[in-house]
Amino acid sequence: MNAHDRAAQLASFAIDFPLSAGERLELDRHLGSCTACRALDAGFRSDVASLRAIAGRAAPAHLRVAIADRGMSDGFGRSWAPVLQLAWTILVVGLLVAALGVSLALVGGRLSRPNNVLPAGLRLGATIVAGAGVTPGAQPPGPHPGGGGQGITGAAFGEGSVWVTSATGVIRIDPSTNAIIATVDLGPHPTRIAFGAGAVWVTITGGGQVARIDPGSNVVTARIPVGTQPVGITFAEGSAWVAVRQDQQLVRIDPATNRVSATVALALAPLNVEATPGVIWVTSDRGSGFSAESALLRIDPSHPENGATIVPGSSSAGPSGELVADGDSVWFLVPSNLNRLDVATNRVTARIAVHNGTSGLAAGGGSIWAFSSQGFVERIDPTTNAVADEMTIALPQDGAAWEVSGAYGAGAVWVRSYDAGSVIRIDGP
Amino acid sequence: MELELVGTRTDLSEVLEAYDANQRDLFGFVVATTKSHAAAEDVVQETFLRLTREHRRGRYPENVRPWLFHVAANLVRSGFRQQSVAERFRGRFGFEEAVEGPEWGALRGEERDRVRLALRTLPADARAALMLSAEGFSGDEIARMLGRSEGSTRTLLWRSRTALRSTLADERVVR
Repeated sequence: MNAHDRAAQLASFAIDFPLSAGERLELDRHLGSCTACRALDAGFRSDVASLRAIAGRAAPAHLRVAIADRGMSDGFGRSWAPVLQLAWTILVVGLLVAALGVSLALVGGRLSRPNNVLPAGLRLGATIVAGAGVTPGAQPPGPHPGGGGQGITGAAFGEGSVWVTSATGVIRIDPSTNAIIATVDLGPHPTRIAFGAGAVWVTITGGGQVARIDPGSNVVTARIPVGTQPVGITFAEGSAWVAVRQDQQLVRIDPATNRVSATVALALAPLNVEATPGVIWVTSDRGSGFSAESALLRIDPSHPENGATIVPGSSSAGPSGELVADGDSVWFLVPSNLNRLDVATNRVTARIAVHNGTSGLAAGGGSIWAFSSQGFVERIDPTTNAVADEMTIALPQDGAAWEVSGAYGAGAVWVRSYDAGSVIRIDGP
Repeated sequence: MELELVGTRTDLSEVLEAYDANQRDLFGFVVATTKSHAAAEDVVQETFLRLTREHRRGRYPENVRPWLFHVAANLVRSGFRQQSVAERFRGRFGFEEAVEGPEWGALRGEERDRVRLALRTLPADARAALMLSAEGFSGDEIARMLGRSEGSTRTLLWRSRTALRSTLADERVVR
């Protein structure tokens, strides 16, 4: 280390730590004779001031509400006697009933409510025991390259039935009877479901495959290798399209051959995929943890060789999430927000605040439905781009750590919590 | 016996007073460190919930501001947040950092603040150290918050400052 490096080091130390008398003398002597190091010292201090200038940033108002609420229910309430917990629950539910339709959207709806609370016009249709993906707190079966154990689940409506994933397969429910009419074993960790070409298509994330199921017999008719960690899947333009996360690819499957017929390399890692006429949409991200950044990609299914482009204005800090399409719009989740993209203009036209932990989306009944891991179900009115109704459904206490998915079909919303071991039916107005 | 531990709204009011006094600096610190508003919301919320629990246990910190930054810095280091879907995939499948593509490079051109942009190019521990220093914490306090020795913290801050200087002088970042 030369004298200049040493001076730079001491100049930095001096900002945060007291220097010894010897260090101080050494630094002062050098700075007295070195213009460049004096400039560097000034630059260090100027940078501290600049960083200070960008340091303060007001937290969103709803955060205080959330802390106040959770401070009562979680921080203080944890050791309350059960009777007081019940009293608190009753108080919260009472307040909710009084305030529903008036103020929940305004305050952000960040209250913690563990019971079923549905607005007028909606009712709890059924709770169907559909087999837990796992025991709460346990690891899902299948390989765990990353060592984690969080549950990803899928729910979809097609072929006249509700289909949900379990730890190792899919479960089929008849909406007319709310009965399970089939279970299909697939392998480690099925995640997403799509319908097309008279078949049900399911990504088996742990197995690197897509399973094709004949809905007439509920038998797997093909297992198609697609790469490492297939997640999202949709059926459009006569093909199945699969987001293969680890390989950073979008894969097209030809249903005539049950083989991969095209591969689109992506700059970002894909998560979920949807389609509108003439366009494939993919949520994707890069980075990890707090450094994650996400964007929505679009691909021309007629020319997959042209690759993907990032939709302008769709980039966001944080990881990517679920998306749904409802004809003229694509709705996609980023942390704490639901973005609406106008397909015709390729622009994000609305950003709607939703609950933290919102992991699932569904379109149907003239609404967009958002499902959070804490049991919140929000109905978004596409005509106003606002949360029109908010409700809560009972989920396990550990639900906050698990994904909740949903689907719309047969005039009802179907909510699947991975560790709850159930499917909850909400009948619409 | 449990009823003796029950908190009151008065207790919570004290926590909320601490929130009102510190939320701006704390939220800004976590945003700068994590580069994510959503993550910052989760970390700040968890920090104050832990303060609530400490209060309930009769261990309310004498000097709440460094305590809050200490807890928040620990949460950031531990990767805490209420995980959203993609992060669950990362935890489960060990997602690897993608190579930056040309599309993403174009997106970065939207950044306006050169200091903030330069800060974003530094590693997370460097961002945390520099922001804690900018918040006025002493070197000793920063070392405790980051779980490092004094010598290691000195070196981290020096290298971080040098890297920030270099990045700010880089035309590719200044644009």
